[in-house]
Amino acid sequence: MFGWSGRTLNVDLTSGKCLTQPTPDDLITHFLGGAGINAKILYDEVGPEIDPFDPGNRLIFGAGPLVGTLAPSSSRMTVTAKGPFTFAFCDSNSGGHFPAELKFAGYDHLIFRGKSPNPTYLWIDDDEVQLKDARHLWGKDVWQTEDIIREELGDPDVKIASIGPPGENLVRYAVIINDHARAAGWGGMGSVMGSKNLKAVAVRGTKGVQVAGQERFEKACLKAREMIIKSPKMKTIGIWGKPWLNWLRNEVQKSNPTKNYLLPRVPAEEFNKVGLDAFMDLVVKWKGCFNCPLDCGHVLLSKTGPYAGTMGEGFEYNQAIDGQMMAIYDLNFVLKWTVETNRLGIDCDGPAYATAWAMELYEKGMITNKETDGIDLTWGNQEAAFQMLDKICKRDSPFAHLLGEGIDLASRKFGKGSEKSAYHVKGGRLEIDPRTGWATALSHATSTRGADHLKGMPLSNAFGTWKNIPYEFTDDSKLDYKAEAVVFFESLNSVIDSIGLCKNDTWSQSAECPGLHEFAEMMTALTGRSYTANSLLEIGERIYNVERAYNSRCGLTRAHDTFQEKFFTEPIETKMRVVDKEKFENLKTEYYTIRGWDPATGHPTGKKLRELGLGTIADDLEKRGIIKD
Amino acid sequence: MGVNVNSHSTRQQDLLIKRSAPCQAGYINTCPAIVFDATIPKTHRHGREGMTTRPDEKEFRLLFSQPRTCIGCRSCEAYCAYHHYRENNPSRALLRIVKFDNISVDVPVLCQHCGNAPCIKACPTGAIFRNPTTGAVVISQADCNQCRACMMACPYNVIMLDPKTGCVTKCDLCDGDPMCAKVCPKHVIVYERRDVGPRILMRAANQALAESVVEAWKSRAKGS
Repeated sequence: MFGWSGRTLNVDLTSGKCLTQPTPDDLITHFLGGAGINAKILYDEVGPEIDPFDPGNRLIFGAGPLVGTLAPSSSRMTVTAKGPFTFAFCDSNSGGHFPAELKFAGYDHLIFRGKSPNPTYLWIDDDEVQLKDARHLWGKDVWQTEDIIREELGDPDVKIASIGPPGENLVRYAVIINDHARAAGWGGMGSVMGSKNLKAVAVRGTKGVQVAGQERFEKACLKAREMIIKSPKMKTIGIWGKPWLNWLRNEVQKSNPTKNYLLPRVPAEEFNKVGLDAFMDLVVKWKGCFNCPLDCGHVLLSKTGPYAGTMGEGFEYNQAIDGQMMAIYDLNFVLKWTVETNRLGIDCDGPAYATAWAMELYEKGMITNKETDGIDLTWGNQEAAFQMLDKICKRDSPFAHLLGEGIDLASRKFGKGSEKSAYHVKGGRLEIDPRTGWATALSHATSTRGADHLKGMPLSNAFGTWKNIPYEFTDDSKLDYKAEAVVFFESLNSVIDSIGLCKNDTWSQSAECPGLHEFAEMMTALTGRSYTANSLLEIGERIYNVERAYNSRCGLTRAHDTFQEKFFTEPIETKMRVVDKEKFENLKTEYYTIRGWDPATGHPTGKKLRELGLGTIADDLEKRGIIKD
Repeated sequence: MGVNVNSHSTRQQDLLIKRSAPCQAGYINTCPAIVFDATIPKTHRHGREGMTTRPDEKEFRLLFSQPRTCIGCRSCEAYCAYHHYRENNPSRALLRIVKFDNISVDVPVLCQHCGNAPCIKACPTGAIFRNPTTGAVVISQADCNQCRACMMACPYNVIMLDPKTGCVTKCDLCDGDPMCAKVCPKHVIVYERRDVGPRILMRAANQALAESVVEAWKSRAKGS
């Protein structure tokens, strides 16, 4: 087979049986691969009654057809499961070298079922697959695990994806780390892996990915590569990385989550400590994922202060916010925080947002030293932040256990009005202020995996390029085209996740980088099947409908696509000031109408689903009484 | 965990020193080539002629690399394998990026097409010879007896076994137009004449220093 390896590895952890099966052609035709096929498998196999940590949940790794090929930045995989903190559809995307290696070994998807009686790890050596004992690895952090497995297998270049103690202890935002510092970070996939007693997946692949149209494919890939190298992204993200956005949000857009949203942005007198210059002082070199010309990763080294000597692959925009959420304005702290969370295998943002929420309660006197086990949770206390991180990973006290549940669940369990200061959508914490603009607000509210900017937030002018209209994504305070743009980006991002490219250097985040036309050309040359920009976009729409239908089945409706009261009432300095509730509801109605969904409930309609060839899903939803014929 | 500033730079330097050490320390002279020298019939030594003379000629170009700025993306491996085998399979690539994940350093290891090539000396069947048009040291698979003497002789350990065929393989400079240098996004691998290449890398490595001089002038002007 060309492009796809055409094989899916089914691992039944309960019985220890590994079975390699052909990936059904029907799935490949309708859902491309990666995130798309993952979503369909999840819909078919995990019902709404199954708890995320139940052995009945599935953990699905998926690498799309372009993964591991010459296509630029083609090493992304999607990990899908029922989400531990959204309690609905959830997926997570990771880069590095592991996804490509998975394809080289000859697998498109790994599906883990059941729960292993003892800690175990999966070793894939091309066609030879076995589950190995991991009792000696249980309790070890991610970096120790990688080192031990490499030594055990006798190959220093084996690619490994593993979990640390937080995953084992079912912290709901534990992550899967691969290649030392690349994470499937959103959604708590690490805890699902931990609930299955699966410590790691190690891969060595030498089979490669076959190509149908060899000359044409090389030409298409070189062209896409050239586009990336010539694009302005190489200068912004390629040199400054994502912390560049911190400056953009703070100084231009005037909204930057700070101090658990008590402040609209970092105060002017503190900003030079967390700005771009402070960041560039830490950089010692740049890093890139497999076959990617855009070196958005940085290796950072703390040179002064208490963390001097700390070195590691460092951080993106969201980690920069982690510090300021706890009112810590120090990039050396952020570096240490990033390195520690990578090592432990926990989402860098999860504990930061939970601790920030606890700091607000501590300030208000709702909790005291007694609950926090003597940790002084005043704003800006760096030592307390690390103590709290350690306790959350171990979950060794009632309060640390509570924070490990994620802010949504924790605030509901804690009660006493603390829900008002837990900012999230469908359980997913809010990392960008919705008061920034209409498309930002709409995309965060309607995202299928909780508040998230990578599902549908317009981060480039690609919508204008596609429709041939003037469209400026940074001008987000006007209402025109916003619903249409979000629909377009949701479908586009579904395509990108499914073919296995990165959003950083494609249309998703830069209109000058490769887009749907280039994807279609590369896919056609690679697979020998015929694709056009429009046909890809239709597949993207189909995938997004599956995700939404899954959420409808889990009981999520239009009422869940909203924010906490604060964003509707408290004005900040942005052009929009607040999210006007009436206009926002109208925008949502417009969005559902364009999607072909029922504006009253937010559920996909049977007509739309059947139009997209999702008849079985329409039947299922009708049978359950969620939608009417 | 983090690595100390000093220990990091020392380790990196160690790495570089170790890499170039075998050549400087006369490793070549003690390699198995000497043993083979007396035993190989002259008829098998066709690769020897011009062994040392050709790369000294100015117009020959060589691959130069710079580990300090390598981003470890392995684009070179991907395109190398694709160019030679029309397959997306970096495990068959003829050069390697050796990744030291725990200290975040990536070292490109590529055939230097040595002037006094130890692999040519070591080869008992004369299967390794220098391509007279490109100056590349190449293997003729038809003459190779898979004894792997060349692998032992190589000071860079860059002669590898192909995972698919099990045969000894090495870089052939893509017949004078190497893909690795063409696709390297950071110009860490460059393909240049021997009098130009080192200067290009030297310039790249010192650009930041040059810019800092200007910055210092500017800040002094502001201060006064």
